[in-house]
Amino acid sequence: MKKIIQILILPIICLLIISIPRVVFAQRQIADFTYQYQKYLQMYPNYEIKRDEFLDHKTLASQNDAISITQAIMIQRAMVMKTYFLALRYKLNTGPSFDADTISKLSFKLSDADGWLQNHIEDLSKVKNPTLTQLFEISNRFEKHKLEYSSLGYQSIATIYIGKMYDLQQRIIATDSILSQYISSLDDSSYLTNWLKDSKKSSYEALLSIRRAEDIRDNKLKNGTDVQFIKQLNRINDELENSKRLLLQSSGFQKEIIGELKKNYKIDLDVNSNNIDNNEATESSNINNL
Amino acid sequence: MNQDFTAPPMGGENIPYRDLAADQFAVASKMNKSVLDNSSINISSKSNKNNIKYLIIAVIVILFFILIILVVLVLKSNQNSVSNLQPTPTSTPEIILDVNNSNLPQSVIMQVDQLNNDIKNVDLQELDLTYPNLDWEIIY
Repeated sequence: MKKIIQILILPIICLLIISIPRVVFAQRQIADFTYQYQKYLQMYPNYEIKRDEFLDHKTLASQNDAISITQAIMIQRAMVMKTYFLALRYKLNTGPSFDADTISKLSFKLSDADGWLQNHIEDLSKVKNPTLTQLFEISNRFEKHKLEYSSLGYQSIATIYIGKMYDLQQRIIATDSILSQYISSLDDSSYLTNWLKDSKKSSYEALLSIRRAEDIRDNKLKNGTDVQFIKQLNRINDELENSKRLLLQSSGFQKEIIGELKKNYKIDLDVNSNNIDNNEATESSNINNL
Repeated sequence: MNQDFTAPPMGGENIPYRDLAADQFAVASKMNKSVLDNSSINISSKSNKNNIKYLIIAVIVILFFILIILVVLVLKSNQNSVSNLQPTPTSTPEIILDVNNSNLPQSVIMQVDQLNNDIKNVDLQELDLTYPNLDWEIIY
């Protein structure tokens, strides 16, 4: 009997062990990046001091200090990018997805960059007693990827934002469809029909705004400089803020419609509705977490 | 010393070697055999049966859990696969409602409120994922 209990408990424990890390994983990726970035920011002033000391005094001791801190800051810099790409990849794959093709392409590129950075970190860690020239040479290999990595990072962030807005816009459309059924069954529904049309119009305009943001991502975030990428990301943000405003407008119409429907219908507090509420609540909490 | 297996004489006389003697095997007695059979086979068969029982139960339980996981995964994948964008706002409804019963489900009211809150609270900054500001020119 004891053995049977053990046999029953073992798979449950295994299942728990498998499922818990998936929940914790999401926050861990971002926490890892934040930690590595903070570490880099703390190390950087020390690197500047040691570098300036060496440039001022040119002594052997200051040179050794400069070499060791330069090597350390280079490893840390690569760690920051590696964890950043991991966090982006996770966000992309767990957020609302309406453009599977773009997401898979970006995920592949992020994974590729992650592999390169891992090799770079290993190369840097292996070097024993390097000269400054050797370190600059290795650093140069990393720095050649600057624009490629910026583009990849900004494209990924833009895709995460766009995914969120697409998700909300689709939910507005679904709610419009539900409301239209109730409106159409009323005797006098002309003014409610007009509100519904306004809601649909706003959500359509929001969709257009989201698509403009997509166009900017696809055409303007692939080539350029850092400054240009930041400008384009701001443009994407403006478009998405506009879509947010329009969706709020649409949602406002839906709330008005609900207010009117309440006068004409009895409110049904059934079990199914509670289930749907719970699903909605989890969906919304997921959105907030993103 | 066995003289038959010594080296042949140096003189070259033809002395035949004796054939190798056949190997002798120790044969267990009938008594010994029966004792061995009874004790070891009985104990091992009993424990084997028990082990097989537990193994079968364990395999069934594990398969059951795997089945549950697969069902959950299939259901989830079906939920996530709704990814078609509608070019116009007139899309097909996701939930078919019984409107004729003249009741407005609380879920619809909650859905509208929740959606409104979600739109208000959507994070379009992602400060956690701001592109890191690094030194891209490490050179003295």
